Amino acid sequence: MGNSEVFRLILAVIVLPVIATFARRLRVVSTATPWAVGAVGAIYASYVFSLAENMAMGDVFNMMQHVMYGVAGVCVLRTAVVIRRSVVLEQERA
Amino acid sequence: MENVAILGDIVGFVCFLAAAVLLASTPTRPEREYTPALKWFLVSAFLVYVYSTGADIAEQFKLTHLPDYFEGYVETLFPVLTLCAVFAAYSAQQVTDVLRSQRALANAHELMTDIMDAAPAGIMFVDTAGRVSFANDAAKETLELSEDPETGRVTVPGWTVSAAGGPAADDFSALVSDVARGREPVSVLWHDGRRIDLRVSSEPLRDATGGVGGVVLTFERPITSSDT
Repeated sequence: MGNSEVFRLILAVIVLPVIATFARRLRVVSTATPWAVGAVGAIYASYVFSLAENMAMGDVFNMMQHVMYGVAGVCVLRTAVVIRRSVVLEQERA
Repeated sequence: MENVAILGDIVGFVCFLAAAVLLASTPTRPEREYTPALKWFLVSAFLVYVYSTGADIAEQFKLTHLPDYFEGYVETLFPVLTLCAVFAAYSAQQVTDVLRSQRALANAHELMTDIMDAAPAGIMFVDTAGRVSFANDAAKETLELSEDPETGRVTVPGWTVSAAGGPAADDFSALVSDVARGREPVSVLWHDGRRIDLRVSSEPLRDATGGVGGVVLTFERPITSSDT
């Protein structure tokens, strides 16, 4: 178990309530929200799996960690598409 | 199982890279909610995982182990960059709200000023010391008031005001001292001998504590104007 992995998870857990506090006050495009939450959730899950792989079922948790990167990537791409579409639409209206 | 892991890395690498390029090429405007700060925090957060998944792919295909050594440290940046992005979005939203409120307030103020200036009657606001704080166009024209364009302060020419036969003063303090609603004749006398008689209505404006903050004076165009 690497120190950086433990530190990374601790830091992620510490900043999560702050992220949630500000994120809840945002009037973001509603269709982007589930994808952004999914992306952050997948990244956080990968942190947990990268720690778990050192404890038990290493192959399974390692695979799940990397699958989570793929899931996060898809969610992030979808978020970026929605943000771009909304920005372009807003600028066309203006 | 290893193939699934590599597939996850490849999908992650392509998607994070595409998302970073997509957002980096999206135009920003400082007064809008998608600000340059938000853009670059998001792009940086995505690039963390371009690096991370790229390092894993390079390791899997035995290209190099070096990037993998720093992977854990680089990934630590993601929660921090996400926090920065969310805070930047929240700040931009607050700024946008304030700018929107300011614009609405300025529009309402402009509309009120236009309405005041369109009124044929003279309308003035006089503070408790008798100084003219605001005058519409009709009042400015009748009393020859001028407004400093920089400070917005109204300056009066050299005339004296006397109300209901009382003593003459170089301001409207005589009307302010009687804060009850009233309508009385007022004479305005210029130093060059010109004089106008006005029938002035006064209405005190009270602040939140009930104290008089000033008086609104309204008058019709002069009923007489003469050289004495």
